[in-house]
Amino acid sequence: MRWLLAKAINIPIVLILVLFILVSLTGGILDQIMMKTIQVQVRREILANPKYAYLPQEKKLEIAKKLEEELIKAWGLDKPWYIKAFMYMYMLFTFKPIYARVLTTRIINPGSPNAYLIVLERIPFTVVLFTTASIFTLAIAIPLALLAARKPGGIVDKIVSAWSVFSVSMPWWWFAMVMIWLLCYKFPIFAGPEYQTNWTNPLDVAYRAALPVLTVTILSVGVTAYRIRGILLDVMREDFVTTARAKGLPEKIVLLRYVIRVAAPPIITIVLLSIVMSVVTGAILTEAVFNWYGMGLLYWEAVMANDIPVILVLTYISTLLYLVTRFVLDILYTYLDPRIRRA
Amino acid sequence: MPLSEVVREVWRTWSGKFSIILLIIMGIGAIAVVLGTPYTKLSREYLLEPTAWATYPKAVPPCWAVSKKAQVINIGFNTSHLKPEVKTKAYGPYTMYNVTWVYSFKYEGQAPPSDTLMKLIVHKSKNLLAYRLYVYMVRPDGSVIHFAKELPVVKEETVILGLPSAQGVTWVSLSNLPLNSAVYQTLVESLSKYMKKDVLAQLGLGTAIWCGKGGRVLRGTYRVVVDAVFYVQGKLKSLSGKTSIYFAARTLPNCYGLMGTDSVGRPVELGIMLGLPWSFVISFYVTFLSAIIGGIYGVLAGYVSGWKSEVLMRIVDVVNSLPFLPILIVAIMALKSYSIWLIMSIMVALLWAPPVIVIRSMALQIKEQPYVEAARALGASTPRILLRYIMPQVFPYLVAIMVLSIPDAIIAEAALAFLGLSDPTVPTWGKMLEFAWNEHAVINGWWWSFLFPGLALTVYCAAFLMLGRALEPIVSPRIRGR
Repeated sequence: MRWLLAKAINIPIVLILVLFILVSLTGGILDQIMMKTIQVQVRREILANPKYAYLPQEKKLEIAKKLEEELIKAWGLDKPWYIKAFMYMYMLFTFKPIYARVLTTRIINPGSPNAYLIVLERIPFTVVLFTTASIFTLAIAIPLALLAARKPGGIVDKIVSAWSVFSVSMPWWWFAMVMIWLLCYKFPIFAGPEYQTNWTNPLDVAYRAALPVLTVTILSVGVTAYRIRGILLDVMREDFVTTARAKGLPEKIVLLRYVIRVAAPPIITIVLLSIVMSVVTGAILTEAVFNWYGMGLLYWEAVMANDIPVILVLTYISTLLYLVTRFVLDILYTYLDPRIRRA
Repeated sequence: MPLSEVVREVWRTWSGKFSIILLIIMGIGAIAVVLGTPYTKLSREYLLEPTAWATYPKAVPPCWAVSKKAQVINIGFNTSHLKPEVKTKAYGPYTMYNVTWVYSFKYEGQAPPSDTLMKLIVHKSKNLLAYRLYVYMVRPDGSVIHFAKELPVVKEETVILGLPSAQGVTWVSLSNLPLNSAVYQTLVESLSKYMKKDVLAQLGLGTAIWCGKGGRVLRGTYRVVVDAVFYVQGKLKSLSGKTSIYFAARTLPNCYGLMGTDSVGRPVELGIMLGLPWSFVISFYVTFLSAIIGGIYGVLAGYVSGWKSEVLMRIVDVVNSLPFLPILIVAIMALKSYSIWLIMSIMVALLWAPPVIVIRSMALQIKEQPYVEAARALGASTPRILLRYIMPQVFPYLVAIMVLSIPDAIIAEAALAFLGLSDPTVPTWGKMLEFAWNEHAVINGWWWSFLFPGLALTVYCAAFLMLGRALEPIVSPRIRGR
């Protein structure tokens, strides 16, 4: 149990450090954004207030300036940077609303500039896309890995190995471009990225999802099958497998009853972890190329619009997601693997 | 294990052989590009000077992919060398001159050219009044395309088609004429008699002037007719030196080289050639530095014990938990500097941590070995033990890790370039992909402009990955021991 506690303590430490890195990188820009917000608020208030209506323009501006300074002091923007950094960190840590510069929500409360809402409404799309792709991937990769592990160096093994080399060496977003060109324009079978999708209609979304799922599946089968094959081969070197073979059990039964059972926990962990990784980071450009309404496209849009608050929140949320999932996986792994549970 | 033996081991496997050959070819290629070409000048032109590619065909496929080729014709004539046909008519004190020059040539390409470049410059002396110019082309099927129709010429030198620049008048592309220019309007007016508006828009004017109905190429004899009408007080003794018209046309091929060109006209193979040395620089800088830092750190973390080791590993945990690409994006956007050295250094700051865990576990085993203990007993200092006794044992594995992480570094750089966060002075393959994507190459079907840079990336990474995979079992003592 002790290591579990250590891992649990790890989460806030990492999170605080990520926040610190993010805030210290973007602090200057955040300052500007806050100042601007105060300025706009104050000007609007002074100009709309009937109490000041009779005053000349210079007088109004003077009052505005005074109010601005008061607000800046009240918000703590005049403090040195290290205090402000903690302030911003606290702000992110407690999910205080942060407003986007340009981007707005489209599904939840359309038109809201709240960066958290902007990120939140994208998460389901990314999760759906990559979970579907992963289910297909597993369905293909596990049998493939079993076949490859049965005869190391055989034809299936060579195919898996070559496939994994190519899916690791190519940028996935480039492969997505090639697939779009081939299957949306050269041979128009699937909906292209410019297809106007109604993101609240599941059927329409499924039609749009077909090509991204196909592309991601093709690429991840190679990597996943290669990894599973490695785990299987490691397990097959253990003594109990030799014993089982010596007993005269057919290879098929050895693989399916003995090897798989031991290899399952690391396989599940690795596969789930790779899904989370692709949801959190790897998908940025693939989604953008497919114009798929997920977190990856949001990254692209935020970079293009130079919307730092959105990128900040997006990175924060994805780190959080990643850390929590890794923690859950650790617990799952312990549960599945008796050797670790007892230790 | 000596180096020659490692190489022999790698060479024994099929993929090892393949990767070594590929790497040698690419290495020689990169050196040849840097030493054998004016590299800095070429990359500056490639990235920053679109005018350098004005005479290249735009967005054309590679030549092996095109079955029907266009003919490249290069004509240019000055009317002072041609024999004019002159008609005169007197109006009181004035005489009207109608001078006609005809120039004929043949076009025999199987396909229309991708574009036509032209120059049309008129010179006249001051005493020619109310000068009007007619320039048209009679095509093999008898149809007439007007370039200038009753165009008034006032100045002594008038550039009707062409871009005046410091080096004289340069070519102007017919497909990219300004929409408000007189020539554009005349051309569209006369062409729309023979073809529909949408076909015309699809072909572009530079192609359409060589096409008949439906966009099929017209082969045969073309005649360019230049017709000038002007008035003179009294009568001219001779025409020579009074007026001359320079007309030049140059068709651009509908295919280019091995890999075609992008929409600015830059050859794709040039981009791939220029990107190769930078791929080596980026991947080696990033992976070498991060392997060295990670190696020393890992050895240190394995050598020290207790809370020191715990703290060191906690730091590694934190860095390993950072989402790589998002942090990279945030850092570059926040620092507002796209310098390639900065980008690579940030990558190093994030990529040194992954190898530490394995290196540390190796160091833990090695430090228990008798020879390390003996060295310690003899009073060797900690840095000496780390660098001279443990590091050499770990080093081969470190090299394998370095080679295996090359795809990560180079693909991350390409991803940044694709987001537009790349050094504007460095030609990389990722930047080519970004350009192709932003110019809608996928939708327009310009497959060559994104297929080849991506393939170059894939081949480059695959070569290192295969080498790494062949190297790993040889240098890793854990696996070798089994």
